[in-house]
Amino acid sequence: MNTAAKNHPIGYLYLLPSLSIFLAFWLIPLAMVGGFSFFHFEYGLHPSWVGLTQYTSLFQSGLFWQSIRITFAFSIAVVLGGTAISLLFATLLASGLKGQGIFRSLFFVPYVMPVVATSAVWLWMYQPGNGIIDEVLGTLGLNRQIGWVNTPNLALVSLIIYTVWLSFGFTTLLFMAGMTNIPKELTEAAAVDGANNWQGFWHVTWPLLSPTTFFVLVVNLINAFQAFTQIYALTRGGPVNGTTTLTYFIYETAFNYFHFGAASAGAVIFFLLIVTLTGIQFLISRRAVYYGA
Amino acid sequence: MRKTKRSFAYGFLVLSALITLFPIWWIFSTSFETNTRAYSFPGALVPQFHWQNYQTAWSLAPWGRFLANSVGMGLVTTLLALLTSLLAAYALVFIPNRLNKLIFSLILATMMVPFYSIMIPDYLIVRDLGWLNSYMAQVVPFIANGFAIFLFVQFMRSFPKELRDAALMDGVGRWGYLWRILVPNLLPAINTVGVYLFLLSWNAFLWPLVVTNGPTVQPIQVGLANFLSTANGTDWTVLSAAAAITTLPMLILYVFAQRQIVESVSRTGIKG
Amino acid sequence: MSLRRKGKASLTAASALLLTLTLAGCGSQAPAPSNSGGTPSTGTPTQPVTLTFWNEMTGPYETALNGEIQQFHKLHPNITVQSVVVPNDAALEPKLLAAVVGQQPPTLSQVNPPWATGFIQTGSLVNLTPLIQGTHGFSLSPYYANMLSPGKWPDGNQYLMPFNLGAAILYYNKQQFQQAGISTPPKTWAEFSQDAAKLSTHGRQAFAITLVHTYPWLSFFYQAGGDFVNPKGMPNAAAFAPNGPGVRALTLWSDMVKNGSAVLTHGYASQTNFANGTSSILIGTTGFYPYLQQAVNNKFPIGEAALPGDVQQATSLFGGYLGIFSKSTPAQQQAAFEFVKYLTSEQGTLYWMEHSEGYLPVRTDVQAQAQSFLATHPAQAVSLTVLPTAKMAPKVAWWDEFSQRVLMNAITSVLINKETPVVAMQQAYTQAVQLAQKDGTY
Repeated sequence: MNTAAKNHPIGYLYLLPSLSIFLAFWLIPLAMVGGFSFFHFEYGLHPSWVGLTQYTSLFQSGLFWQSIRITFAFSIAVVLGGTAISLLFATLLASGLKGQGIFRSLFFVPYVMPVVATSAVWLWMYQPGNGIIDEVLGTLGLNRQIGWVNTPNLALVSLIIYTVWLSFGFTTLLFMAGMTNIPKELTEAAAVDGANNWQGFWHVTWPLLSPTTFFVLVVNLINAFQAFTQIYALTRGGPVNGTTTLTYFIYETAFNYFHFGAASAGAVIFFLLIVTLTGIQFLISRRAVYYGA
Repeated sequence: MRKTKRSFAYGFLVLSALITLFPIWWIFSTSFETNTRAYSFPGALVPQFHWQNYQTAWSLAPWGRFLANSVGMGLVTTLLALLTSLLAAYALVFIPNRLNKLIFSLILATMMVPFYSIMIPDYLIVRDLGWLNSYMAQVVPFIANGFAIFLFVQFMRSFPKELRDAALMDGVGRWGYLWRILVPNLLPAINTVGVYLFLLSWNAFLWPLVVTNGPTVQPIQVGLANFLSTANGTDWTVLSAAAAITTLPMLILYVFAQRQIVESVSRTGIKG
Repeated sequence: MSLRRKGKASLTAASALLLTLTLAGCGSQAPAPSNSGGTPSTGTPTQPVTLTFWNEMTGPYETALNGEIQQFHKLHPNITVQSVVVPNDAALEPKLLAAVVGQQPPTLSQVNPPWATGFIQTGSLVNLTPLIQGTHGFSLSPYYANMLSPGKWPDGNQYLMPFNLGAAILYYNKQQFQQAGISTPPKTWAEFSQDAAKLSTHGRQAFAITLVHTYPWLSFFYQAGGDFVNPKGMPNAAAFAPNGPGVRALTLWSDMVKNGSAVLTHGYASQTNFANGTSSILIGTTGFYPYLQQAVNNKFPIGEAALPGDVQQATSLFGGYLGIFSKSTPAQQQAAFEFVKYLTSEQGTLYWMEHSEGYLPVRTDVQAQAQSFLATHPAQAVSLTVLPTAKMAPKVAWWDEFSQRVLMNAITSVLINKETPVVAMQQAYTQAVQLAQKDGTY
């Protein structure tokens, strides 16, 4: 602690490159967006002061509240589903199976593919009737006229499946990186003490992994809240606004309908919401995450 | 008992890999299809090796230029962002005072801003810097990354303090400690973050589209999007060929990076 | 120690503030004029001028547009046209918005009439009428009136010129029609639904509905005599009425979905369905043709016909217009006007139709010269015959949000059986009125 205090001047120099970029390209623009939210713009020009009007009209808009509900439904499903699946695969792969590197690479492939290309294939797979999912269901003798992307609720499910497919390889990688930090001696000692795989996982790996788990949860949550490209490519927020998340709503308001001021108000609310949520996550983490002695 | 468990695990992994890779297999096999069989089941399940689509796709856009732009900007962004993030995380972890806590939360906040919501102000800033239609506009805003700092902070925190004290006592110095001890030990994390940063840059679409006006500086995603959505329809086979062309370098790069990651994990895996 | 810490903290804060101020200072600077080229009074500039042209001419259309630009460069060696291609409306919109806010718009851009309404209000678009009437202008009389009018505002000024337009027509699988014993394509709504029912079997629906845009449905709405906008530019209540054209057109489609002769597809999947024989009827613009021809690859003959009629024969026009932005220099504006003049001239139009293979001529006087092309390109030939009955979407400022959000939702919720046509139209009317109050009309 003593040495650390003496290091301050140089310590801040270390921070300078990142901080100046953040300030110039993120924090100042964010403040500007906050300012814009009090102005009405006509197609991006002629700002006129409207106070809180754009906020109140957002709160009165049914679509706005619906988009918040959809954002939560989507995020919870993606965060829980994505985290559970990647934890499962990471545990399996880290258990010393031969060829784990190959599997890890294979699972990672969707993440490196261009979203514009993979979403096109998934759209085709989701086609009602002659898409491959319905074809397979049909071969199994099940209902084969499912409007995967044509009905609001199923479209959200389709979007969730696609998002998890897209990103679980990356979070698996994160979990595996976290697991390599766990000393082998500990798990081996547990095995020697007669703990089975599950006990070993639950009493040794899981607590030691909790920083990674927490990290993956935060990252997944932020990614889910910000999900945009796949919505844009798969459903365009439809059908009947069934997949219009808050981010998509803001995007559409600004860039398809040119309501730039209203979109800024939406962005401010979005930002406050996600800061609050992440704050709560951090508070919980203080109690539940084990950072070592 | 152990054997059956193991083969069950393998079976499960193989099945999952097959399901995961199916859509990608489909893109590659469609890229070798004639139009007639594309996107009909089981049409393109087994590819026909119809190379014509690749010739067509290759002739329709300056893919070489797009690729060079994307790879170049991706590498520069990744390296610079790794550098700034390592420095920032080092300062944040080893000077744990109130101001740094505040700075850390500001950095985390940037992680939560969806970029397109600040796109217009950023456009104004980039314009005033005279960076419209340049590489600078696509690289500089992203050479600091909240996620990377967050991840490095997590890893550095879990790094034993005793090692640091011992190193400093040996007269390594703060700078030397960072580069000679911390960084080599953090290689797995650096690799992971590097891949993440590269892909972030690689997949950027909306911002490059807005700030650039031509293939000389545009990345491959923008080039590819011009194939996907014309106003009237899509030639799926040629699109798939274009997607394959754009993905192959990524896959090859990843296979190399993967080897690096695995090696660095096994060689320098952090020991508690 | 605590004192020192405070000192450092305020130093950091001060430097941050400094940076902020510097940037804020930059932000308030007036943008430097990009080019100054003098103000030539002749049609051909005496000094070299470069103009930027933002457009959505991707894939095969880009080749055709580059051909046009080459032709133009031969005629005007002093003008350089820089074409910037973006994939679609969804990409052009944010790009244009950022550029207009940042005062860096292109010289010339593809523009949809509803956006133009906003750009005109803010003075971002050049009024073309003085240029058209000026010494280097041209006559508007050869143009198709229904293509020209969406570019003309109630003040009588022409702000946009038509460029890449197609008309919705009916594509059908001739082989399947013959097998089902149908000799001619449907001429009325009744025939349309009967034919589709005949062509459908269990789990295979003949009519694949494309709903990327609302224009295919709007064709049917126009056939039922509908118009969503009244002369004042406000929502037309009669169009939404329970026995009005909106409900009639919705009922036709939803009945077909219910009895298994139509299916709602996603994106352009309907083209794939059509090409692999899963469906037999497709409604789309002339622009579909190159894609369909390529996908079908002579597996079966493709038929093209006018859409069926109801109260009247009608179809919808779909595509983009050209507008010049006022931020550019007078020389650039003059050059852009020359380019617009060329693109919509007889020579330019003819070249555009024959090389794009997807778009229609915007003027009436080129059809005679294109006989050999039309003989081998039935989609264009059919489109030209239906052109007199074709309508462009209205250009009121509330139209885009109404069409993409409200109307699209109404159609979809009826087709997925979530809402009845009457209720869907009632709700659409309420929302249309709200939008019109919020966004204004012209």
